Amino acid sequence: MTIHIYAEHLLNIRTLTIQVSLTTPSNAGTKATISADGGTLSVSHEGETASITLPVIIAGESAKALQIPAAPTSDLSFRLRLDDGAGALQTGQSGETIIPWTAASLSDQLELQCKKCNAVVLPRDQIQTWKDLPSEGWAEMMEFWHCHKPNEPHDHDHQTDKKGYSADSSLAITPSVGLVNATNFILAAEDCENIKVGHWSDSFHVLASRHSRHPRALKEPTLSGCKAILHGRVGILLPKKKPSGAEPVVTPAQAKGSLAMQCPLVLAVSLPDLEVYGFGRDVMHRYIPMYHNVTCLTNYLANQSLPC
Amino acid sequence: MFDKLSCKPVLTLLKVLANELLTQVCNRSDSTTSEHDLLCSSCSAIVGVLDKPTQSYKLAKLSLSISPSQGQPQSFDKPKWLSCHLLNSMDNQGLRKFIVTSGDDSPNTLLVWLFTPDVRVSSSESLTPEPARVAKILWKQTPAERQQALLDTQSLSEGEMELPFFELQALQRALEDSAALLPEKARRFQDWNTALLHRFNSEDASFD
Repeated sequence: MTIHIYAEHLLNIRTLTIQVSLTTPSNAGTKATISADGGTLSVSHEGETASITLPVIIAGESAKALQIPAAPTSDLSFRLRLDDGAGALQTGQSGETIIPWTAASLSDQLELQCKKCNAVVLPRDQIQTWKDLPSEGWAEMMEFWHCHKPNEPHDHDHQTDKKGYSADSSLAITPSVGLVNATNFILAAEDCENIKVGHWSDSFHVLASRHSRHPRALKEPTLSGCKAILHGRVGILLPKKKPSGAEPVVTPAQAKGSLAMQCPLVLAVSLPDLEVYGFGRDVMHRYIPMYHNVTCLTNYLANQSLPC
Repeated sequence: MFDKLSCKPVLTLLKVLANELLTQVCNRSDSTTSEHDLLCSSCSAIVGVLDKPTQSYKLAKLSLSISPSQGQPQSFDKPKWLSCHLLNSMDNQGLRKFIVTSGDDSPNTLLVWLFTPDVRVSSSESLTPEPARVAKILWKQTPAERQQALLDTQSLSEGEMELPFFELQALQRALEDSAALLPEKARRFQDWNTALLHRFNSEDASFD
């Protein structure tokens, strides 16, 4: 797609901003039109057309064709004022933060699974009661309230440790009671299953302390679909054949089994999702380096601009 | 795509990754980390962290799906949970800017600014044609020194948020990936990167 359209509806200031990026400068044939129902924007340029569903329906005066500037440019932008009340009814959003999976919506009948492989991590009927945790920063607020109650003499004895919200108090974890905050479940270890404790960097700690001056010769791994290369102390797996269907050529388990026995660290690319995995002896980590992420890899592949 | 994969550039890139990973590991090896990851014993995906003081399991909603007794299993994309975390902190603390770290020894920190918390957008680069409800976020990486300087000045305009390392990585990835929705010119604002994180809708709050 050479035409990139982006539209943003700012509800509070009743404005729709539209940005269009073209690969070549606009000309007399470039057109930007809003459909009769005010719901779709189409941009045509040099025989190509792209369209988007607008985030708000444009009615009345604004709905006419957008004026393309006379001076050629490859970056077009438009700002449309919307009628009073436009959008609010259409979107029906109140602006409040919605938090799914709070205690009120959970039952003892539910099951928690690993999102990636669907392994059950919390079986049904294990939790009898779900409780919401207070919002973050509640302890500070409680302390403030405790110390500064209006219409009461200030208590400076600081007995907050007896009240359960001092800095050194911790949560009481009870089996079969599940605690919930906005983004986590806090559960007793014995309630859960299929979970192992590790740290992604544990195996790499071992690696960092092992200084091997002479890289070991790498045996051909048993994994037939992969080419294995040893780079310093790091093994690299590259898939050899084209993936069939949705199955990655290198699954984490395969790669772990093949090379991790020989090298302390293995990097592997899985197809077709182009994830980079790092494997240690006991743990596997989907490795997304902070500076060279998968997007970067994909871009490099597309451009083939890396020096070999 | 595949033919390109088997060529030298990929190998070169993986070698760069290998070197960088070793550097990161060496930098982290002296640090004492109070958290341990919880891994799915079946696929080794990180599903949460061990809370050391209580030895309890803190499972991240973004790594899980729920099967209610009736109805379909439910799970959401990571960016929605990450925006939910940021927005919840914004509501609770009354702040728009956060220094996001993964602990005191964090090798990398992000400065995140919830620039427009609630906006509806459409993009021709989006995978789905429907307009999406997003939070527009400006962000940048902050070196550790800058982070310390920010905290030392007792700045009231910036809150601190601590995420497990895997969630910090997921946040950075979500921020970086979302830039694809924006035209090239809109991906930067002064020295900030621009990102769009999808927000939960009201229909996400219930099981169907």
